[in-house]
This record gives sequence, structure tokens and C-alpha cells, in this order.
Amino acid sequence: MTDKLALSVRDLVVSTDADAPVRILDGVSLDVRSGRTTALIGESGSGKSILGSAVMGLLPDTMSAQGEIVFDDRQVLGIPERQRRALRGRWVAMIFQDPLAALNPSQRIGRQVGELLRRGGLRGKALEEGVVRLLARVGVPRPEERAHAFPHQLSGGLRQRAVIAMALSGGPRLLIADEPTTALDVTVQKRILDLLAEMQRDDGIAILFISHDLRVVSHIADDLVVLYAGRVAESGPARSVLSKPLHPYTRALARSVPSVSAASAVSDPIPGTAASPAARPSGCAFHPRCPLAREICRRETPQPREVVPGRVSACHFAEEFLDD
Amino acid sequence: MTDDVILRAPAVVRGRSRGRAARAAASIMRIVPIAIIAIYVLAAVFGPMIVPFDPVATQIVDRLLPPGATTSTGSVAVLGTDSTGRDMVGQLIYGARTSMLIGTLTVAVCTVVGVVVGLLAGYLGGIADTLLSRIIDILIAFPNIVLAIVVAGLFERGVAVVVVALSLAGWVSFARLTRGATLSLREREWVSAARVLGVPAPRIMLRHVLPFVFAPVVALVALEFGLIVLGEAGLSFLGIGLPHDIVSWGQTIAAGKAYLSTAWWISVFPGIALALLVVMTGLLGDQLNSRFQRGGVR
Amino acid sequence: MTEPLLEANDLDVSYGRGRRARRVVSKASFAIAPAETLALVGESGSGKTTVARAVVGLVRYDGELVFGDDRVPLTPRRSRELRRQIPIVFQDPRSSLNPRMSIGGIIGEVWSTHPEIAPGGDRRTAIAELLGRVGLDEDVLDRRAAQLSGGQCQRVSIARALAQRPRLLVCDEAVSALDVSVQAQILQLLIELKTDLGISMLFITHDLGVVRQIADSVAVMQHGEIVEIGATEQVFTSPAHAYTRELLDAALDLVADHGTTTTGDEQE
Repeated sequence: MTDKLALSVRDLVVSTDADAPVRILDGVSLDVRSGRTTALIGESGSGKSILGSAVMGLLPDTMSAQGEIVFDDRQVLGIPERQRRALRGRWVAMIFQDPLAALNPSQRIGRQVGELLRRGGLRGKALEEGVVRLLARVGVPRPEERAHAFPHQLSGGLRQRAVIAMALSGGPRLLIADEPTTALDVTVQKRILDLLAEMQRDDGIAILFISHDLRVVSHIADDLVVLYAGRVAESGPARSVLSKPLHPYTRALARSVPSVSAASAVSDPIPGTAASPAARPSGCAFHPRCPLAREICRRETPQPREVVPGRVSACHFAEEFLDD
Repeated sequence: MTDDVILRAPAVVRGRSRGRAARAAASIMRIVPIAIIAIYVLAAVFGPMIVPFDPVATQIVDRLLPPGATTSTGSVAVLGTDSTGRDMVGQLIYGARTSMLIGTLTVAVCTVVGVVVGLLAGYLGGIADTLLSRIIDILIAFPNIVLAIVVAGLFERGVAVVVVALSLAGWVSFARLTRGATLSLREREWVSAARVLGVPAPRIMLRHVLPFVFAPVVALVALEFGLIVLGEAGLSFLGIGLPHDIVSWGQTIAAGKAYLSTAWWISVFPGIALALLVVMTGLLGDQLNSRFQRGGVR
Repeated sequence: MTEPLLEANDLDVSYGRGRRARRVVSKASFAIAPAETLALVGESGSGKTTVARAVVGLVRYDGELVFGDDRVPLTPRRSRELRRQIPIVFQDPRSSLNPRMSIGGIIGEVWSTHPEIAPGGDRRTAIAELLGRVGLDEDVLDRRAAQLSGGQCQRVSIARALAQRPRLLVCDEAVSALDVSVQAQILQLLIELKTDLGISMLFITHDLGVVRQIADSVAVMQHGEIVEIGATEQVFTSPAHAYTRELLDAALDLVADHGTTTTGDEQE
């Protein structure tokens, strides 16, 4: 495993084009290293999926982006669409929550999985073998047969595997996974997560894992970035962030997660609902829900800063968490 | 990480947006059908006050005058006169009035009957639904205009007969639309919640289903209006529609049929008026439909 | 043991008729005591939601489903009084509320349907009080569902259920569509209501973590059958059925440093 950066996002601002523009993402920075997984966690409205679209170059027409999105030392934000398209699939691929929406219902699985191989010049028997190899690799049983199936003939888990095979077919260095297991049953979810980990071990792919589910993330992430109302609340190594959060939001989030292995009552959940970027509170966006909020939190927007080596927090009082 | 200044300069990216001209053109296209239909309505309502016209008076001296000719009374017949010397402008305006009247009455009958029947069948299901579906199947297999001809032919000419004859088939599309919408609305959770609560069925239909059927029904009203106006003209053309003392485009077109080679204007002007109205209501219906599909309840 | 409030014996539910009939619930038997919460867990297609729909009278069933001391059968054509006593909270917070009606109108409908339980005095005050009970401001009263957040909508659904003075509350994945922080709030609210009002609950969910927080007992469903049923602690600590073990193994917990599981109390 190398520490080479596969993706580096710096001060990314995504705003809507309306007369009163809204900063959906407000200065987000994160890194994804080769062979590692960075998880981007946030509740609805935090802007986590928009970040995935921005990296893919698939922002809706009504939004514009500023800042840096760097693939392997190349700034890709602002390069022509044609060059951007060339990066998709070969450099960066994406899988989504709903595998059925990502598949063409009228085409056989094999044809869709083989799309990039065919564009790469493979034909006939070689193409067929390539498709079968890809399907076998993502753990699709009887791949020769399944290659001829239509999407609706497969189960949810197999569909997501087919989508992963499609994503892997171009040999990308970076995989963006946007809630890839949310629509799946728990037993299937576990197998898909295992598969992603295995792919990563074998190929050294970097994964940006976007999720709302702290439990899933805690099993798969090396690094964690916590997003709140379009800003980074906290980031750092996943284990360390989860065991000793340096932001009250992360701490409250971790406490809200219901546990299977221990009987626990829900103890003081965070009041209120997640702030939306369109109506972001002044100062620290979290202050209306924060038990520790003081005067300065209303006035001044805390900048993310390195509190201890490797650990970034955007709380005015992050240091206080250290001796908790 | 190397600091490659050129490659890594921060950039601003804008999404593509549709050109201003294209958007302006689209918004003009949205206004055109409504504006033209409004002209028809204004002509039907206020036209008779401005243009005096007696549908039964004849002026043999002025018969078959071409557009722009001067009549014996010294006025100018802008669109010409017909075989009994009546002014074409007056015929068009009174014809518009008739079309609007018949169209409004018939669409009203069709909407009320169709929505009520569709709502009941869709919500109650069971035998009521099976019965309605079969009736709809039969009526669809039967061409609307044939049904209207049979009924209109059986009775004395009159407004009521025409409305009934056209409604007989016209309600079907409203019933079908409402039934379909009701079937899917019935499974929505707020309807289930009301059922679990014990809200009586008529109240559920009225408060939890009907308001959401409205938008597509309005679109259908526009579409059907044109077809019904066309149907009335057809009946009157065949001489089994409205009585002679009511001016109808259909009758005027039929009357001009014999003079097509010598006095084309008698059939052509009401024909254009009719076609334009039908096309515009169709466009309006399509617009309402697509707006409903974009902004409707998912 | 006290007499159960709800009892199901050999409950069968099929969709479709004749040769195309598909059985989705098969021989399900369970009981819920007064003030008890029973969770039904299972994966998609296990039939857990169908059981909930049978209990509130939205689907037909075969077998026995009886309610209360008089053991009244819970058919789809049940009395208004029975309907009042068994409300349901659905998964999708927004579509459970009529988008064209105000929140006040939605809750008021409970009392116009069941005038016998309508509070005396000012209706608005009564509704505002009820909204306060579920943690909502009075100004929500004149808004519509689209103007509220998912969590707020779910609170309105719970307020509507409370307005019915229920004896058994059915929750069909009622917290599944919510963000975790909001989910925790709603769970806490439900637990409070349960202790304060002594309401029984049938809680449908796929989330074993949620089950452990809220349920006294749990029934595990697979392919339309209940494969295991018992006290929550017992099922979680010593599962008897292989499928229960598989579910528990697959359920992810939050792992922090050294692979330990964090709970609210273990936080450093």
C-alpha cells in the first residue's frame, strides 16, 4: 500500500446559479489515498452526494464549482468536457445506491459490463471472456449464464455486483461509492462491503465511500470526513475519530447510532434537525443544536484546523475534547 | 504533490445552460394557445354586441359576395357573404358562440360524470370496477362520432340532444383517467392512514383522492373541448345537429359545400376557425399535461 | 402472565387469487401484552410489513387475529371503535400526510371521525397541546407536510396516532427513512410515550440495533414465517435459529479503536 494521493479536493465550493446563490459545499477539503478508503459521512442535506458529482464532473447545469479537484497531480476542475469524459471510467468510476437505476433495463448484463472493454478494442471471444472474468471477480456465481441475463432477472445484491464489475472494467484508480449498500438487506450489505475491501486489497484502488451510516463506515473506512451543512466538521483516521471525536457533532452522531451487541437506551439525542446549506446558521452551522455552544459560536465561523497531528476539527473548542 | 502552477490553478466551472433565445421562444410558445383561445372566447361573449347579425334574415341582393365587397346597405363584407346574403363575419362570431356553448356544456357533463364514475370504480374496486371497465371497453371499441350520429339522429334537433349525444362517449376518457389516478392514489400512505383511522369512504374520496385527480383532469378538459367542438360541427354538417335558427360552423361549412368552386369563402373561413380552435386546445392540453407531470404530486 | 392485548394464531396472508396466489405470511403466531413492544424483524420480502397491514385492517388474512379481553377478531371490516384503538405510523414521513391539508386539519380529522374522543373546548388549543407532546411548536399547525422536515412529519404522524387514544400502535419501519440523529429523537419519543401512556407497540423494522433499543420481545421473520420469537435480550444473546444468527452476524455495529464497540456509555 502506498500513500500516494489518488484524489485531493481543496476548498471546493459548489454553489447554485440562482439570483441568491446557495453554497451547497462551502470550502470542503479531503484526500483519498491509493489503496485506502476515505468515507464522507453526513446526514441528508449535508451535500455529500454533490461532492461525488463534482468529482465525477457530473454536476447539474444549475450549479457551478470552484476550488481544486486534483487527480494524481492533475487539476481536473475546469478542463474541457471531452478530456473529463476520458477520465471517467478509466480514472474514476462511480457506483450508486440504486443499482437498477445504473443499469439499462433493455440490455443484457454482459453487454453493459463489456462496454468499456469493447471501446478498448476487445471483440468476439476475447470480449466475452473479459466480461465473464469481470463478473467472476465480483463474485457473480455462474457468470457465463448471468452475462446473458437482463437486470430485472437478478437480485439486488447481484445487480450491485454487476454495477461494481462495470465500474472496475476500465481499471479505475478511484472508485466513488455513493451509499452503495443502503438499499440492500443486511446480509447482502455485508457481502458487498467484503467485496469492495477485497477489490481494494487486490488492485490498490482508492475508494471515496459516501454514506449516512456511521456503522457501515466504521467497518470500511481508513479515513473519515464528517460533513455538516456543506462544511467539514471533522476529519482524520476513522478509528481515532470514532473513539475520540473532536467535534460535538461527530460525538452526538456516534452516540445516536443504535447498537446491536449491547442493550442501550437512547441517551440525549441531538435536538433539532440537520441545518441545510440554504439556511445555514451564522457562525458555526452546528451551534443551534450544540450543547456546548457559546457566544463565539454564533458569531465566528470556525475554520477547520489540525488540533493534533492528523486530526482536523472545525470546533472553536476542539481542544476541550482532548482531556474529556 | 508537485506544485504545477499551470495545471493546478483554481478554476471556475459553469454548467451549460440553455440559450436565452431558446428560452424566450419557449415562453412565447406557451402564450400562443392561451391567447388565441382567449380571442375565441372574447368573440363569442362580446362579438354579438359589436356585430349585429340576424341568422334568419336573408338579403338576396347581397348573396355570394366575395370578401371585401360592398353590400347593398353600403357596409363592407370583409369575409364575403353566403348564399342567402348573410355576412360571414357574423356567421363566424355566432358560430364561435355556439361552439363555446356546446363545448362548455358537454365538457362539464363529461367531466362530472366521468370523474364521479372513475372515482367510485377506482376506489371501491370489485364489481363496480369490473362493470365500469367492461362498459369502457365497449364504448372505446365504438367510434365516438358513430354513437353520436345514432343518438342525434333518433331525436328532434336541439341543443340538449347534441350535448347528450356527444357526452355519451365523451365521459369515457375522463372516467378512465380518474380511475387510473385513483387506483394509484389509493395505495398512497395518506389514504391508507385515513382508511386505518376509519374515515368514511365518501370523505376519503373527496378529501384524500379527488384533489389530486384535478390537475390531469384539467389538462384533459382542454384536449376534449376541441374534440367536442369538432364533433358538434360534424353533426351539424350532417344536418342532424343543431336546429337551423342556431348558427353553427358545421352548418355553414355544409351550406358552402355546393359553392366550393364559385364561392370558396363560405366553407373555408369557418373551416379555418374550427381547425385553429381544435389545434390550439390540443396544444394547451399538452402543455397542461406536461406541466402537471413535472410539478405534480409524485 | 397477563392476558395478551393482541394475539395472532396461524396467520396466513396471500396476495392474488387462484393459481397466481402467492403466500407472503404463513402460519405466523405471536402475542403482544398490554404495554409490551414486540418487534418484527426480517429482510425485504420476509412478510413483516404484511403482518402490520393485516393488524390494521388493510389486507385480508386467514387464521386468527384477536384483540382485547373480548378477543374481537380484527377483520378488515372492523368497527370504528377498533380502528381508533389501532393506528399505524408508516415509513415515508411525508407521504403519510395529505399534501393538500394543513397539519391542524390532519390531526383534526381524527376527532371529526371519532367525535366521542374529541376534547372539549378549543380545538386549536387541543391540537397545539398534542403537537407539544411530540415536541413540535404550535406554529406547525397551519403548515403543510412539504414545509416540514422528515423528522417533524414523523412527529405529526405520531401525534395523529396519539389523538386516537390508541391501545396498540403499529410502527411500520417508522424510523428507517430518518437521519440517525433524528431517528434517535423519534425512538426516544416512542419510548417515552410507551412508558408514560402504557401503549403496546408492534414495531416493524429491519434494523437490529433499533430492535434492541425499543423492543421487549422480538420475532424474526424469514420467507413469511416466524423462525424465532422470544425476549429481546435472550434472542440477541443466545439466538436459537440459524437465520437469527446470520442476521446478527451481518448486522454492523459501530467500531472504534481496537475493534471495541462504542455505546453511549463507553465513550471516552
